[in-house]
Amino acid sequence: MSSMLAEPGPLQRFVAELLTAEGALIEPIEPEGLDAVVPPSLQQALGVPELCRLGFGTALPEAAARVGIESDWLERCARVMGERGRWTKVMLDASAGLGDAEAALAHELALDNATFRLVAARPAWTRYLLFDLRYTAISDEKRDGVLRCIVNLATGALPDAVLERITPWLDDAGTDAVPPDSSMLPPDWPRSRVLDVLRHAVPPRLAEALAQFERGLRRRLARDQDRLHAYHNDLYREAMRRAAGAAEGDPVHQREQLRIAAIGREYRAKLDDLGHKYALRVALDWTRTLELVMPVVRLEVLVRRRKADRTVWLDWNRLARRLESPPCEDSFGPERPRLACDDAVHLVSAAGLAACPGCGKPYCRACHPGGCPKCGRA
Amino acid sequence: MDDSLPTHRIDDQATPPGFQETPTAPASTGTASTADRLRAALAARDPQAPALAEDAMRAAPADYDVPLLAALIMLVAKQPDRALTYLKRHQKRWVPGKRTDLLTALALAQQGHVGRAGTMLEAAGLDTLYRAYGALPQGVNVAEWLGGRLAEIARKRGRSPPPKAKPKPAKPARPTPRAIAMPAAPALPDLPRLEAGFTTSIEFANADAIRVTGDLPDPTWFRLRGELTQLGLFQGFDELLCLPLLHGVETHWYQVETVRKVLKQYRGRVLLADEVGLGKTIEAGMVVKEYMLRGMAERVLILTPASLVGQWREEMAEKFSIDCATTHDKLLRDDPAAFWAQPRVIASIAAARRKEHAALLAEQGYDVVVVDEAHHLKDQSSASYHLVNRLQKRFLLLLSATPVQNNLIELYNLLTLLQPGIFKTPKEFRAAYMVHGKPREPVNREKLRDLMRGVMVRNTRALAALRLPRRHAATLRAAPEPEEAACYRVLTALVRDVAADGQHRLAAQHLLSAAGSSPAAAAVAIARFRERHAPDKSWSALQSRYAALGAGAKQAALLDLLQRNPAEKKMVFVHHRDSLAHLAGLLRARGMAFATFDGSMSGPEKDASVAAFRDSVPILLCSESGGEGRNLQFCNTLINFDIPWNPMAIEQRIGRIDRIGQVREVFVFNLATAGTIEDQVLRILDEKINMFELVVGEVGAILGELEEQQDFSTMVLEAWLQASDAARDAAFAALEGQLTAARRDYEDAKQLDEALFGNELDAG
Repeated sequence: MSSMLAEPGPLQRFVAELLTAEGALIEPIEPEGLDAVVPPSLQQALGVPELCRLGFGTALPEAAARVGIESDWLERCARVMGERGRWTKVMLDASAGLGDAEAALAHELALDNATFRLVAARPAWTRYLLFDLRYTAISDEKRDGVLRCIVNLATGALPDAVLERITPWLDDAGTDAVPPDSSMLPPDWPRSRVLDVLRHAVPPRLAEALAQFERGLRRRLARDQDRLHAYHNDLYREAMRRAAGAAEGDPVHQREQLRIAAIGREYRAKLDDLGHKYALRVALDWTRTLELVMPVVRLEVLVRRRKADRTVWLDWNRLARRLESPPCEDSFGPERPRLACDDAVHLVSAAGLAACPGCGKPYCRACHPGGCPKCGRA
Repeated sequence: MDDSLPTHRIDDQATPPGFQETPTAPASTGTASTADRLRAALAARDPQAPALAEDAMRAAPADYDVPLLAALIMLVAKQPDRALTYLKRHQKRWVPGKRTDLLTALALAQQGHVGRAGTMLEAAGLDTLYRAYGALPQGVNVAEWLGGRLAEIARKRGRSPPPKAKPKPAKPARPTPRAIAMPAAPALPDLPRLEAGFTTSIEFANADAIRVTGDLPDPTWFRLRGELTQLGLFQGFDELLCLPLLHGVETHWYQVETVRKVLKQYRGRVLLADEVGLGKTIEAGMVVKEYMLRGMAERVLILTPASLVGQWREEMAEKFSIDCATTHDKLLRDDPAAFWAQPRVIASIAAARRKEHAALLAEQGYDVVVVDEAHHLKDQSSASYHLVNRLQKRFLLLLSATPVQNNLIELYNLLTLLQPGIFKTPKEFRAAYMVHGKPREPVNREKLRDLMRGVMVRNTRALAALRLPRRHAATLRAAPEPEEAACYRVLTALVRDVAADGQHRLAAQHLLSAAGSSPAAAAVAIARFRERHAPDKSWSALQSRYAALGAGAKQAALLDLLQRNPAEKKMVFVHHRDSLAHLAGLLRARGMAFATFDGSMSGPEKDASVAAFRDSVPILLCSESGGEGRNLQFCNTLINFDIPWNPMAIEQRIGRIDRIGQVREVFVFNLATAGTIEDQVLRILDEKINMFELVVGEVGAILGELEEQQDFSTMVLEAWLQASDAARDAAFAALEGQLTAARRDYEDAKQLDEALFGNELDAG
């Protein structure tokens, strides 16, 4: 490539790499274009001739076909890609050691109703699964994005904070590093267990990602509600005034009473319409899964409650230099667990051990996901 | 902020005798503050009190008490709309408290919203006279009036609301509406308020397809899939490509939402009418950048008042990496056709509308046209309007904080540029939307807003949750030593001579400005002037006198300021480099730690200076570019060692620390040597437009009209160079009059636009 050529944009870079991966020969040209010799299979999928010239900028090279984000080119590229690239596996190595395991544990784990102590800390390996989910949120407006969820297959943790720190390294992670013996790695999870965790873990994280969007639409909803109320309130008060001017039994009085009832009905119907207009529907589309193998320091921790105790394992990520919080075993949300239940010593957030709204008795939602064991209320 | 309830005891003797018909003291009582005058007018129930309140709002809108007192006066005068306007302005600067709650509730009650007023009073715990009285602005005593209003609210809430039509004489009591009220809430006069349900549903489209394991890793295709997903997000403008490519721009959510809306909903044709200081330029720049990144725009024309051409060029280049030609370029004069053929141009609208240029422009095709201060297009018969109307353009962004200034037909003109036919013909627009004989009053505000929603975005500070910190400004006028004053007089006389025939204006400005900065700067400026223009010996003598002066009058005042409260960070702005060097030497000699920041430094050097200022040294000496694009909100004290004649430059300095993110009160100290031009400039700006109390951005809006033909600093120079003292005084008086009128026009337009657009056209 000539050093005089301008830096290609993201679409041009992507198309060039895709064509190359499919065996095409390409040469960048100015302004913002590519000359390509395309193999027959690709010609058909992309709808281009064997020798083609593609332009990506506002100004096109001579005789170039325009390729733009707003055109159908992304669909054509998706056709070429098919189901490839849905899964891969990489390894990230890091040698940082954990100096003071007790301090790291005290920093990351805080339980209000239980005690815990570090039993052991030893080097280990783990496997993370990173799921990329494209979401499309539609209300009166639309918002798209990609949500990334991470699961530690050794501990069941969902370490969002660790994910944030290791993301910059993922692009450079290799597949050629020598992995540890498979016996040192945690086993696969049953598919149903993975899906179950995702079903729990995604909604709260999605709510965080869409918080600004939701605030905006709630503000618009509130504004429309105010307008709707003001309009119907004017009608209502006018009808009330007229009704008050007529004696009971008078036809005017009866007519106004009917009118008042109709205004109320219409107001409620319009509110229902508003509810439908602003209802938020989010569609999730899984795009790819990355399996990440990493060395960690594994902490064995004994959690002790009044009637029982339990051992939990927490990983200290060597690259992120951070201890992973255990997941809330009820919500799998981003908040840290603060409580342990009596029977199974499940670690849950406050909501996971809250009082039943029916009978008022606190119960563990992780032990009883179906509802209150006393009154049965879900 | 102190919004706690005062502990007044109310007893019969303390209760005021009520409003009297006696005339109040005149407004200009000399030492009395604006707030005190309002209190006096209120106490005397002066019939002129509303007019006094209007004046007070212009004179001291940033005073904590003034908007509250003005609102109370309007309530007593039964003008609840004006009261709410003042309260809204108060809330833009101050956190609302019980005082604003009380006055807002009283205003709502006067508007007939008795139910809302009562609810608000109850929620704020102000439903008894004792509590409500304590929440009145301090120093007023209107207990009787307040008691009457509260009793009226309580009485009206207990029965059906009065008819909206004209009040009628009292009639025998009607039967209560209890029997005919809606079953849900028979006793309430208002329709019971209900909430619409808000539901969220999440659907996993392809849960069955999720892979949790595989055989052969394929990183290339994995990466390509990730890129394809990201590119897919850019479809439909939901994700903006430009965000990671902006430099030194702290984008806010409402700006991102606005850009999304402009691209998706308005399809690139919109009036951006955000309130001053919310970043319309940033929004426009983001839209242009986004279109360029998507290959949807190549040719861009930005039309702006002449005084803003340089600022636009800098912002587009530095923040958006978009290099533009400007009408300051020599090519415009050498080869206009070649100049206008360039793909990206920032043009002064005054230059562009000239006949020879307008003809060339009309032949060009533009992908994006941006018009800053678009209210200049309000008149359909103006050359500016014709110019923009004739341009061949795909996307059109009109920017103005006050799009409607005097007449609703201005709105028609602007929006018709964006969407021809939106309001049909002017005649139909007048018939449908304007009250006959009242050009500022819309007939059907809601319908008009509905139409405007399709072509206009107006973000408000309330939406952006922007609470600007309180700002305190003080001007320290240093009395010069006799020799310094004498030198300045001689310099003024010499400059008048050399500039008498209209020549050497720039040099004259530089010489006087340097002398206003420091004797060191004056000596160097005179030496340079002598080298270039070889004037007579009197210049040489003056240079020697200035060189011998050493410290100027302001130096001691600066040192005093710097030594006060030494732990507090202070930015010292110095326009003249020679003054900067002199001050640096002075501080060094006194062992005072400081960092410097000026335009000649490299990026890393500037970063290091700001880091040192933040972490270790208490003083930052900086030139005009000081702190540009850096977060300096950790500092809240600014000292203007010298004063630029251009108020926009002063405002830019203030804007470095008085910006979103500043949570502490801001202190601005202006240093001026008595009897200099700077002294005069400060006096005019402070007294006539209350410059140091304006929100950053408002100075430009006020000076916009004034600077149509000539910039402010040129006007100041022209006035100063008048041959006689009498002529000079007259020239400055004329300038003051123009400024006062410009401020009044701006305030009028702002009020009109607030009433017209409300807060329903935002991007949120």
